[in-house]
Amino acid sequence: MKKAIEINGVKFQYNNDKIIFENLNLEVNQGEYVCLVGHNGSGKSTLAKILIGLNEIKEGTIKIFEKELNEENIYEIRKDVGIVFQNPDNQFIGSTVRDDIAFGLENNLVPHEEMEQIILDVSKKVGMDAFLDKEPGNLSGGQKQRVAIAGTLAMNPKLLIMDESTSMLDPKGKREIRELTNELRKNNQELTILSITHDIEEALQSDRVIVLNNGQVVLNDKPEVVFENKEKLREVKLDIPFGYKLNEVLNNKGIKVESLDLEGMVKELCQ
Amino acid sequence: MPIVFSHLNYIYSSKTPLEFSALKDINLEIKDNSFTMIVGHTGSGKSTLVQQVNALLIPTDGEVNVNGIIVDKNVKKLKNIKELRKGVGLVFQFPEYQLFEDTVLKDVSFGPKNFGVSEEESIKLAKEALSLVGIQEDLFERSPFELSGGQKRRVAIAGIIALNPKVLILDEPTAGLDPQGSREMMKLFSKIHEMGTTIVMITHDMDNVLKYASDVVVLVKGEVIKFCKPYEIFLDEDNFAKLSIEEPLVIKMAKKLNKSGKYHIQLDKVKDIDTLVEQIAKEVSYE
Amino acid sequence: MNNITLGKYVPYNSFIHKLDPRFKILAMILLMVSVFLSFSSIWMNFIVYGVLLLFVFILMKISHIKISALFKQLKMMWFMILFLLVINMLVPGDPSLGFIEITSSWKIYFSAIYNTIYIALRLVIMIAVSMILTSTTTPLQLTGALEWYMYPLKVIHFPVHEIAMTISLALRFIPTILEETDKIMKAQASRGVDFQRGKLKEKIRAVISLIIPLFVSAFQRSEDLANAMEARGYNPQAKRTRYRINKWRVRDTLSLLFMSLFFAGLIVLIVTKFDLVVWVGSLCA
Repeated sequence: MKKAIEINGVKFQYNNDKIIFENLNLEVNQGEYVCLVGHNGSGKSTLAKILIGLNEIKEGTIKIFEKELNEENIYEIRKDVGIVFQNPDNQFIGSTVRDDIAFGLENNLVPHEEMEQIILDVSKKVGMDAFLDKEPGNLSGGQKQRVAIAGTLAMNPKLLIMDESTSMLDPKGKREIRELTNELRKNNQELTILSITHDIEEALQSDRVIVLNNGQVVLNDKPEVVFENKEKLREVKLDIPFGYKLNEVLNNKGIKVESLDLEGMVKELCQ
Repeated sequence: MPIVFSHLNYIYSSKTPLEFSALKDINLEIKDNSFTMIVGHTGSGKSTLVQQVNALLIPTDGEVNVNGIIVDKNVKKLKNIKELRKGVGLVFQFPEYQLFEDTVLKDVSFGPKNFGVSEEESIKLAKEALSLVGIQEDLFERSPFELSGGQKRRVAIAGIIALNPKVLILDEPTAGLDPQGSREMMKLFSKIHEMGTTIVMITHDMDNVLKYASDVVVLVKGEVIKFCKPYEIFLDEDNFAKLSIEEPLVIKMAKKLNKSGKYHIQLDKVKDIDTLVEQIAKEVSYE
Repeated sequence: MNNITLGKYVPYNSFIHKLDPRFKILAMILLMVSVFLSFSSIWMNFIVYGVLLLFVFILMKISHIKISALFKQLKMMWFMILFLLVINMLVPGDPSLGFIEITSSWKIYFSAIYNTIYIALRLVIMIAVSMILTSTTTPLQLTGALEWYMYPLKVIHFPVHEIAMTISLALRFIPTILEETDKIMKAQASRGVDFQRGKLKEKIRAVISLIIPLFVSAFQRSEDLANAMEARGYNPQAKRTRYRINKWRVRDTLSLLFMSLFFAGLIVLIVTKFDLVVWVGSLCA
């Protein structure tokens, strides 16, 4: 299987400050949907910036789609990688939705004649085609994030990184972005998604969960395996999905249930 | 200190083409010592509503009465406003943006000093507030800008708590925090509430509403649609989308169990997983 | 803060809206220059100003700008014009144009009144012209057109593109920063800061409590923005294609032709010292 991300022995620190990563090793396969979780300050967002070459590593190598990231090919690699950041306001570059989506196209020398069609296509994909001439001030946080996603989709990325893209949104905005992510996956099996998130219920839906703590990978497995390891999760101050927690509390009370999801537990309890 | 809104209207950019009616005929009594949460869509007027309470926005029509101090369109007297703002502490969304002093302690004592408290007394109040929010003493002389995100937020909140307000208003205080940080923050507010402070909180988090609120206000397009006990807003399933309500999973579970006919869980007793399991256990042991 | 109407783009699809912004900037400059031209006689000046005013009103009509919006802009100007009139009436002017003697030491010269009317008319026309430009042209189009005009400066390695990008980013973030200012002022007001009153020392303190948070967040924003731009492949040194391209169309050529003829006509009037009043007089005689 083709690898989307390969991180080998990476060391990183901000200007001789505290070391964030030491000998970090990680791999993500092409087409995988991976959730990276960890409390604030665990180094998650730093890692995202390392992957697109915004932060320079001290040691080790990073390969994106089997090309090693270095100063020469950084712009080449960025064409394959789309990233959506946390703050909806601070990544809206254009004065209107249209101009914002066009920004990346302009950087990648897409001919003027092709732009209009691409803008129309991707804005439809994220459901913002009715808002093309709107200014950021007239959009909700969720809508701005959808525009940001459209901006990355316009470049047809092979890897989409979501860096806490929903953490500043209200529940409606969060839901919109979650649904959109699922849709993108469904329509493009080749698309690799790395989602950095606090949303444990989202992580439950992913192919793989990586738990980061103090720059170390502490757990790295399928969601059902990771969330079974409640002791470890508590130790690194992470949430446990509702179903797992309820199952645990019920069993502790002497009410024996096997299921880990709401429906299943209801069924068992009603027997 | 009760807060009574009567026939309050607020219009943005009144008499211009951009005129926008943000609050429509609000009538509400927020009781003394309550923990009232305000929920609603982004843009439903939640922030506009709480800003009337300490006269940062002045009602276009109607009034809000905060313990005898009346805020209406005629309010101009500064003395009254200062007195009002001392009694009503308002913590904005992402309050860490308001930090500006060179040390944590100075920043927290900035508020009390503005309200005429002596230097010495201000420092004392600041230290008390900081220890309440869980900021260790070794951080007092540090620059607030060196702290972590969660610590900054605590310092900013301490800056309001140091005023010893009778009412603490919080606009989405847990936004952007990680789950652990947000849980600790809620515990802090619960503690402040138990110390006798009335708390009014804007939130989107329905789990917190269920667990901590004594009353809930639901705003839709500038109107109060519901003012009730927390579990009651989860009864009206058809309106969840309109009211911007995500049903807490514990309530969903309890409802499903009740629907089976085998359980008769009292929804008002369900606050979180532990209380849900208690209710379930009670019925299981009957059998 | 939403009351700034001058310079606010109003989305319509009028003929003027569709014109090339490069032409619109040129036309604005020509019209502004016309206002300051001086013709052979007072009457001739008034006639030309009248024509200009009529022309500008027609343009406003086409661009869907209400005359009342213009008068709203002029509200503040009335005081200035009145003030100018009073000053002009108090000082001695050109006696050759006639005067009214009020007392032996105070004469009101007609030239003073004419001068005031000139100034008033110039103000009205200039404000109207800039209103037409800004309400039919988005800031983005304006920046693009300015970049085009600055293009020759690239020869001397003047960073034309960077400046244009900076301007358009600044324009994009003005509303965001205004909103933020409002928020920080309110947050500090909740901590007892009074931005209106107080002793000088308190006022300075109030301003500091606003400025520092604004700077901190502006730096944060610019860092985020720089990251977002880089992540999307922006490289200030590299070549870029353009989404917004000004397409020069037939209507722009025709409009340019019309404007040039109009301006040339005015110049001819000046050079030939043509005076309509004298000319009509001579025809009648």
